[in-house]
Amino acid sequence: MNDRPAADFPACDIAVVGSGAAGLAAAVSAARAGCTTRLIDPRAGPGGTAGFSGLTTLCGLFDEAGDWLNGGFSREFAEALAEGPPVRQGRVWLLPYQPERFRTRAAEFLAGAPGLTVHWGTPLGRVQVEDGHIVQLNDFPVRAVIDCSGTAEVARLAGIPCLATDEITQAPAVIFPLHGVRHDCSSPLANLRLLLPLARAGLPPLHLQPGREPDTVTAKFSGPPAQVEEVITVLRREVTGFAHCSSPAREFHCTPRAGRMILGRHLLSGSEVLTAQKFADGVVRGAWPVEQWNAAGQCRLRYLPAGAYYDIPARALQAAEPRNLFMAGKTISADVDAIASARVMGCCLATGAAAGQLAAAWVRSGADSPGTPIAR
Amino acid sequence: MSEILAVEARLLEFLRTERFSAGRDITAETDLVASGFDSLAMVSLLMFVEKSFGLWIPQNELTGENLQNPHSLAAMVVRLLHNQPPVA
Repeated sequence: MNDRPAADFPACDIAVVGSGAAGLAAAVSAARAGCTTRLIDPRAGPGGTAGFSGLTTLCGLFDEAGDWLNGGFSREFAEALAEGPPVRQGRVWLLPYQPERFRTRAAEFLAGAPGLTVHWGTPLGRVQVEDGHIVQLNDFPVRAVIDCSGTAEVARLAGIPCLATDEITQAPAVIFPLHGVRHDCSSPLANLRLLLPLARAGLPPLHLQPGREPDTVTAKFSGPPAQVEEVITVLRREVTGFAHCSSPAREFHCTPRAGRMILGRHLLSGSEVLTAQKFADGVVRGAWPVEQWNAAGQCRLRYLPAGAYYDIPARALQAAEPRNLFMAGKTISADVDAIASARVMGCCLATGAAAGQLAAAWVRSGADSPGTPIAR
Repeated sequence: MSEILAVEARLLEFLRTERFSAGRDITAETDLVASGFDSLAMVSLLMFVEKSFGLWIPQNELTGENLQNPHSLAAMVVRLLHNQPPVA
């Protein structure tokens, strides 16, 4: 891996935009498939939402029985990241992780990938499309692009049609750790004892997930960042187990749950997710429930049939136009219901790895005309 | 006992208008969690109880037994109105 400024570089096979879970997996997979690959990200290092939002649980890696949904890079990375076994919460499994460790491991995997160049501190500035193909990104020519930005930055700059989630079904959350807590996140009664005092104080609800230490939890708050201090005050004053809680976070900010999805050769629908649809060109398995959050902090979960999984087809990872644009993570071709399941990090890792391989196959096949079939 | 019935009626009226779709049966014995009541739905019901009856429900009253159905909730409300300790 080289770490150099983006200007004045020769053409690369594949450019990956965004280095969260999806971009990491896409870049490493494309490079391992033998393509010269560039990864650009506006931040100073890899991690994206997984490394910087404050999240400490990785969702969407396992089926209801706790077995791996996908092999390949997503499992390889999750196993390198894990410091303990996954945790069951209701019908789903979560893998607790440390965000710092995610960033370190991501940097190690990127450094170990052959023919991969990373460009940190590099926002996407320009996308040039000619004859229905993206030919240049910022200053360098490209043969294929994988949009892992979460907000479809490539598509936005290229004027490609997108679908957007809204704050009615995918409200943003403020995510922060709470230390010094005694709380059983899996107990509905314990959660009720927490939620009632907040409601009395006129505050939006808080959703807690287990942290990586016994006395820590990760909080997802559905109100504005400015109200977090007030929430912590109410918890300390009124909720058993929270009298000495505090957050090490220095500032609080909103994390979007989902963003913009690029219209692909297939648009994965919520009903295909909920009926556990399989496809001949299925490349990723998902099983996370359709998880929607409204601005009042209410979470609505719609589950697949017991033990079932759905396929994400290769066609949902390739743009309808231009064909040399691929997508992974939160930007895959999915409607607002489908992305409410497929946006979770485990799924982002798996769609990233699949998109990296698909883009590599596209480049290797020399495909440069729309409609050229791509390998699974 | 008539107090409990009166409170029950008020709770059922709230649940029928606010929480359950028209035509769906709900009785004093309907199990709330089994009917899809999640934590946030329960919070809105408890907030209604506190406002309607001028109560403040202590944490130790938030038990599975008290919150099982409208009848058990009504019994808790009446007990709190009379300032009685929880049934052991």
